[in-house]
Amino acid sequence: MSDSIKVDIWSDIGCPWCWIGKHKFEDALAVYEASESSIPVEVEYHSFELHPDTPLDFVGTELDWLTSARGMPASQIAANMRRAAAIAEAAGTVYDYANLKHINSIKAHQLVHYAKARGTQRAALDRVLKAFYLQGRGVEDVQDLADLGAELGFDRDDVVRALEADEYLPAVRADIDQARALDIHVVPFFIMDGRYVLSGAQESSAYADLLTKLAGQRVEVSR
Amino acid sequence: MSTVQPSEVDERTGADEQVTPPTGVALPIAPQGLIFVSDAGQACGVDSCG
Repeated sequence: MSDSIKVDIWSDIGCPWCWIGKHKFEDALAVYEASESSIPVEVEYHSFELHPDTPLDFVGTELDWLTSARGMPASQIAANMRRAAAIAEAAGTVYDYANLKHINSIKAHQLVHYAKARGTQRAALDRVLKAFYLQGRGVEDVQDLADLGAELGFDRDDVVRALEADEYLPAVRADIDQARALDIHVVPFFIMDGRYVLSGAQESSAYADLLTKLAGQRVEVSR
Repeated sequence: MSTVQPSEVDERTGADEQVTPPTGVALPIAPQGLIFVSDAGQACGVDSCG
């Protein structure tokens, strides 16, 4: 048994429940890590594409996409989004569903993998998500993503080169293939210790409770 | 899908093979290797969110 607890998280950039779930998980992680009995936690994010069929030149909101491409009733979608916005606010963040652009996230995922290969995955994912949810940026254009990469301290020209060459597309595909193999159809999807699943955005206490139990198991085994 | 507590489970079930992602952490290659503690969260799928 590893000394640390591994948490694997599949998520997509434009998925509001992933955004909210990430907040709740990280709140839980902070509380857990502040406890005396905590043991180290290693977090790895994995790419997932909810809408790989989104044209790169699609112009519209999530509501536009779900009604036009998926044929969902606008009233139902709007009700779900209002609920998500209220929960996001309670979680200390913002989900401005009326103004957020629906995106094809494949390039954004590649930027996160570019950063992951350089040891800064979480910072890159945080930056991309903040750009998208809090600054209203599209995060799908190579130049826009390269700007974010430069903010993260990367060589902007090299980010452009990597994104235009789809250098990290195989890494994104590998994450998605692994999700498919695990029968993951919805995100966010959390796997702790390689097997224990919390599916969807849960209350922070659910993440904290599972981390605490897994840490407790480590203590028992070590005795 | 069943939900269980980690303390109730002694051994990994279902998957008899492992795959090793680039980070070196083994995950099951089949969904039977996963144990659902809770699937009650709110999530997005291809056709819906929430």
